[in-house]
Amino acid sequence: MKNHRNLVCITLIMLLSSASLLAQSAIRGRVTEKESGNPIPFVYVYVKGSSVATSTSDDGTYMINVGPNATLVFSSLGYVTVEEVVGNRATINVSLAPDTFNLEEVIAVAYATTRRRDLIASVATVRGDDIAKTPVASLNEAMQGKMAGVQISSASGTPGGAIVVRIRGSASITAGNDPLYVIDGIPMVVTDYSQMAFGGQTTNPIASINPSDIENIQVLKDAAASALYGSRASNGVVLITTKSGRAQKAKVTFDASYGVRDLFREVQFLGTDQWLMAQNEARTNFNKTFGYVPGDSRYVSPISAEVLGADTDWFKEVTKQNPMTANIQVGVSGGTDNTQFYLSAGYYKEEGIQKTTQYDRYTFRTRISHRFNSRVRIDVNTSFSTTDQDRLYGDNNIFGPIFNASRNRPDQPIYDPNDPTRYYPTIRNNPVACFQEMYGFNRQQRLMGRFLLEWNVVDNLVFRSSLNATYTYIHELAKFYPKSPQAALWLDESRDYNTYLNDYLVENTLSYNKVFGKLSTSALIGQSFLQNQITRNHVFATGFPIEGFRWIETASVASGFSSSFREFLMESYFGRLSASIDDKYLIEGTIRSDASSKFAKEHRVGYFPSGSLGWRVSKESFFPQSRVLTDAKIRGSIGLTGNQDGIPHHRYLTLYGIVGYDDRAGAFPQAAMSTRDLTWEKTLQTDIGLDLIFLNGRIEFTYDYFTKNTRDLLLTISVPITTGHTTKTENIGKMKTTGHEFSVFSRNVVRKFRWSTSFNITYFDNKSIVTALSKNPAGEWEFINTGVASRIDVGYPLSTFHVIKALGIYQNDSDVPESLYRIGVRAGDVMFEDFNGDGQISAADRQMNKSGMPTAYGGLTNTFSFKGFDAEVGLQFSIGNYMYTYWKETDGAANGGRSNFAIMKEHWENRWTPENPHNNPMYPRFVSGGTSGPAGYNTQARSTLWLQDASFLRVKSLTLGYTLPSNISQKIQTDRVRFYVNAHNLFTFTKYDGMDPEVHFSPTANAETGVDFFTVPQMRSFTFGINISF
Amino acid sequence: MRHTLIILTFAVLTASSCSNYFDHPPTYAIAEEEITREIYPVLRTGLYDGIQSPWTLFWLTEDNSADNLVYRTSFFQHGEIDNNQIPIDNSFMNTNWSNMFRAIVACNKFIAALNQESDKTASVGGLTINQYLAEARAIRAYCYYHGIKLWGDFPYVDENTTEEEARTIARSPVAQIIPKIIDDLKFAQVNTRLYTVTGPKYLSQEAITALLARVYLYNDDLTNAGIEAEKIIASTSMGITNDYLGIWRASNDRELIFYLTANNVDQNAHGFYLRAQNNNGRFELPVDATLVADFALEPTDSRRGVIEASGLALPYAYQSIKYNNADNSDIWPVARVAEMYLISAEVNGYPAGLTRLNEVRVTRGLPALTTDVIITEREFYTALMRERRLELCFEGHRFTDLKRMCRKYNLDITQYLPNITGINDTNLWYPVPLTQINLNPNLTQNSGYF
Repeated sequence: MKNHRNLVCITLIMLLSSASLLAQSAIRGRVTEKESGNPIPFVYVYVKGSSVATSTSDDGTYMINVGPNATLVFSSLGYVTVEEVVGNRATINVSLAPDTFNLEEVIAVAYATTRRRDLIASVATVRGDDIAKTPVASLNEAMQGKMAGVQISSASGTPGGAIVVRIRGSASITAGNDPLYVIDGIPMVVTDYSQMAFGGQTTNPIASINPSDIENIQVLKDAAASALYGSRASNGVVLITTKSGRAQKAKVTFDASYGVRDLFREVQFLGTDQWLMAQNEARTNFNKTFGYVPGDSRYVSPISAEVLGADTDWFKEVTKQNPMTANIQVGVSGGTDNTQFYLSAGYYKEEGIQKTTQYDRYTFRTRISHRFNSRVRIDVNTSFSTTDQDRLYGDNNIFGPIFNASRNRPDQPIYDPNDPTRYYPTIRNNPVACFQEMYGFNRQQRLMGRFLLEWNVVDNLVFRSSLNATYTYIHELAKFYPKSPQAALWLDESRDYNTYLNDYLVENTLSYNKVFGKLSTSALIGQSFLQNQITRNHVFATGFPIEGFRWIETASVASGFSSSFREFLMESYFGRLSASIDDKYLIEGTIRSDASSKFAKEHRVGYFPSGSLGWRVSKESFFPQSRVLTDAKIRGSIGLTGNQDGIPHHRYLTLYGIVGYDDRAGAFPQAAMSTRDLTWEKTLQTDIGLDLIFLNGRIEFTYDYFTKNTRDLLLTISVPITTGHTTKTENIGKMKTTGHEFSVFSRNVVRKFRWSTSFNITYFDNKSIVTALSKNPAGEWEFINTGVASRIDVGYPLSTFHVIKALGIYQNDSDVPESLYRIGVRAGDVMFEDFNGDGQISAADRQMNKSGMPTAYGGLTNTFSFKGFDAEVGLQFSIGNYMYTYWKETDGAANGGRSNFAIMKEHWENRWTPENPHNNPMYPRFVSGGTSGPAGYNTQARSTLWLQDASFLRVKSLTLGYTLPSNISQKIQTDRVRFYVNAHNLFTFTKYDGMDPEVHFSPTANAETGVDFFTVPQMRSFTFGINISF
Repeated sequence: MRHTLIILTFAVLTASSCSNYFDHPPTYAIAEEEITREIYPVLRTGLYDGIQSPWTLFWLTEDNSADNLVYRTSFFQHGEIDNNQIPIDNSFMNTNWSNMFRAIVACNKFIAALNQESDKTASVGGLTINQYLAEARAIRAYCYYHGIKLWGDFPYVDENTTEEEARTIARSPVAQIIPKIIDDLKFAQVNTRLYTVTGPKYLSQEAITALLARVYLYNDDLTNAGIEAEKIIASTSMGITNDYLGIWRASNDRELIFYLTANNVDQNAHGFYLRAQNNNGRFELPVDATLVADFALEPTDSRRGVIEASGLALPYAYQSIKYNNADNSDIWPVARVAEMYLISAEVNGYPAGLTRLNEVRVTRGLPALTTDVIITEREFYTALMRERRLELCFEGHRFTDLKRMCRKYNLDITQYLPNITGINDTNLWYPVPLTQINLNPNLTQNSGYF
């Protein structure tokens, strides 16, 4: 924080500076804390109305030269600012009261910092203190449930797996919905560039940042905050500021933790005995339905155990008992007045619930800043990280161990009883073979460097120039050994991939601040050049001498190879003008132009303006002065942002792809048609906000109403093949999101016992409603079927399910319509709505129904401290999001004896029977698929039977900590020693009966949210840790 | 001074504006506007790939529609084709139709560029402009021949069309397209090079002669079909041999007039669909039991070696091993010498045609058929059709053979294809893909498809 405090103080000084400095005299003094009397270092002491400033040293003392009639201002984050008229004193000692109401808090915004007081944009913050308290795998987790308007869900529990971050809903269908991440000013590549498809899994590059290195996170939500990032800001911007050193003697922090984890819920499957009973009931019901008797070729005979004595708990076989997490982290910071440093090293390990999956992260960070003199400063920030991920093929894949555990019958063993070296040929892929016979490794290394120069050219005018580079290397190696269920498809192939990303960014800004009486103004202009290069290569080979060999050097035949290079360039200019009149009226305008290499010359440049206004009502004379309402600000903004993810390179050109024939290179026109006038997706955002502060800062309240209207959505449409092309990408769709955000932070008790509460909720009036798509020749909107059960259609939110409505269960045979009775539908089967009225139940009866996106989400966090104890309870909730239980339908867990696959206990115990007729829960009778008849009538129809309300309330984090009294910690020569225990995901309250209501089938497919494929769930964890500083 | 230096260094490092960079052409593909005559050899190679890699799903369609293959598993679209009940949204129909047009448009674009060249005899990269034109026009003709034999009336484009125009192009009658095909092939026959120069992997004069013979036959122009077929039979650089299996094992390319080659990187999938699981395949399309029975009638037939037990029970007991490379580097035969003998046999009719027919039979290890055995014309054509089946199975001929010959020689097609009720419009033609009709209202559907 120091760094930004520096900046802001300089800014403040500039704002307040007046040129005249008269006779000087030295003032000395000491600044202490009001209650404790302890000295406070780093208090900014400056002469009001001038640029003269200093800061207190470790013992709280300072010295400053002042003129006559001067007033000294003592300002420090977390304390109430104090002003002292110097008069004829030579010593001024000041004690500062802890501040609970801090409008002076400095927060990072696009290309600058600002005081919260001056903010007229919508920005949410998480402070580093909140992140550092408990170990988290990635900084996204630290943000979960803590910021209004920011929805963060863990799409899968795979270690290092993707996390889905959505700021104010979705603004795109195809072009990506991830926010732009900017770390210390460097836009970070967060796309998963792994080349190997792991069955829907993606990795989370954000996880490569050590959360302990983070000072704070700001999320820029509206256009006023984000439009300065122009063409990449439609999904919001996450600004991450890392820690920097302070002028003090070196301080070491050491954090370590160890945790164990488990599933908070498992789905129970029938063991062999019950499974046989269930299967035979299904077979009896089938024969009875059609009147088949033994001897009839269509009669289905009773089933008996395939291997006597086998009773395999597949789920137990593929999951690890109590996988662990461990975290060790060392940080050193310190420095002199001119040079400060922050160094850190960290190691984090996480084991997955699927056997053999794990994740290791090593991080190193160095930040050094040096001030040559009062005008020139440099700041160098370097970080290196390695993440090693042992992966398996399938979070969401028919080759995944957990998925197959949910399908395989219990009367089959893992290994062939006659030959234990062979896997038993199970009805679906052998779940144990799925992980034992597969090798998947992903290593991502990232080196980030930033060199910043800051030059105070003349008073009030600051030039900043930065050179930034990020190098990312990804190595992947995967092999399916000969006994793997995948081996046949892969032909014993080993696949080895290398990916290199080089990102260079050069940025120059010039900022100017000036105060004219009651009018304070600031201006910024800047230029930015971005170069993004991707180099990839891979080698595939087959013919290994020994099972288990995987490196290509041991292969005999090369079966595939490639190398490729892509480059993306962007050149941008931007500017901001802001003014504040008497702290009462605030106005700001920004504009950015981006030129992107993805577009044709004439469409290359896009302009992204924004404007915002703020009115501090509480400063108006008519506003009643009150101790209750301390500060009130109304703000509004409008602006345009863009999105260019998902636009392929050179789509404006007609391209001939490179092909081969007879070992010669050829060129053949690509299937995709060129679109000369392709351009960015654009989102027009408006925001109306209200910031209220009550009781001198005890309660802070923020409300925002926001709208996001996206146009020029990129969609791929079909073109007649007589053009030689099959598809083209066009800017045609439109989408609309409107909603409300509400957040309140209250310091309920601020005595020795401290208790504070923060609550936030985001509610959508329109959750990403599609308002335009392409039209067919008849002028009707075309819809897009996507995923397993989702459809994009005009008038409906993204991720709306397209399914048949299940109305209930037929209680009597006589209730079944003749057309369905004929095909074998009976009492106990599901009554589907015959939407098109043709007497049959088919895909044509599907209707738009519910969405995988929540209507509201938010969190509630309570923190307590008393003497050495601290506690925090963080809740996270999501309301109105539905989940399609793909894992239950057809041959899934609720197949009801349709096939010889595993059967979930819940269905068996709650099935409809003549003895136990019911409608709720809607679990139909057991009936075999047989060889004809109603095979899959109940289970195969993609219906609301499989759609569940996945709203949830989660005790995301529960922490109890104890800090040793300072006299004890000093005895062991430390400044501070804290122990804590933490429970993550301790409780989850939901009606959803899968393993995790948060999972996503395909985290990158935005229009298919809310499909559970028996995806690897998040776990509950219990962690013990220690923080030491000395 | 020190600070000034630092600042200056930065200014130099950061003052980088590189807008001219932005127009760099792609390094992973060729932009159409960058195409010059130096690229002609590359475009030519691209045309061959255009009828190779993308067509790999397409090649077995006829054998599957007819009685040479059955559908076992995986792509249900293959099952719909096997059942002769193809829905209008069968995705293979759209893929095949589309891949054909992608190749046609690639040819059209190349032909348009070549036609701009003033000196057609000028040489670029070892070939003259006319030789490039010959191959591009022959490949276009080959595509259109596939189009009309499977779909009947077909949209015909021989120049670049805009998206707007493409939304209105109607189907042209077969009778209008065939002269254009013949025109293209005749131009190619005159202008392309000899087999001895090109080898069997590229279009030679002989390859085009064979295609012409086939098109003439299809168009019922027996005289010309016979003339072209006899040119191949008379050739000394190729002929029929007694090593039938060798054709498929690269030990015998005397019988291959023209084939599409592949390696283990640019793999073909047809062998993968045909081979059993115990033979590195997916066994999507086992050999039809009637073909197995047909082979069993004459045990000395050397061609019988191309089917082999699959390890599964009937009706999936046999797999085709014509394309037997585990790394999917199998060839696709476009034209073979034996077909020319059989065309000539058909042209000569009964009984004169028995000579050419028997030349094939004897070469394959079978006794010659005599007029004592083949007593009627009808028996002759039945025997000829059977011979074509055994000789050319899994090479994409059978469905057209059945439709053409049963109609022409009054044979009962339902005897071969029990799923259909005689030759009518519905089973004579494949359905026009719904996707394309939706994009172009002027594209009419074949009758019987809804």
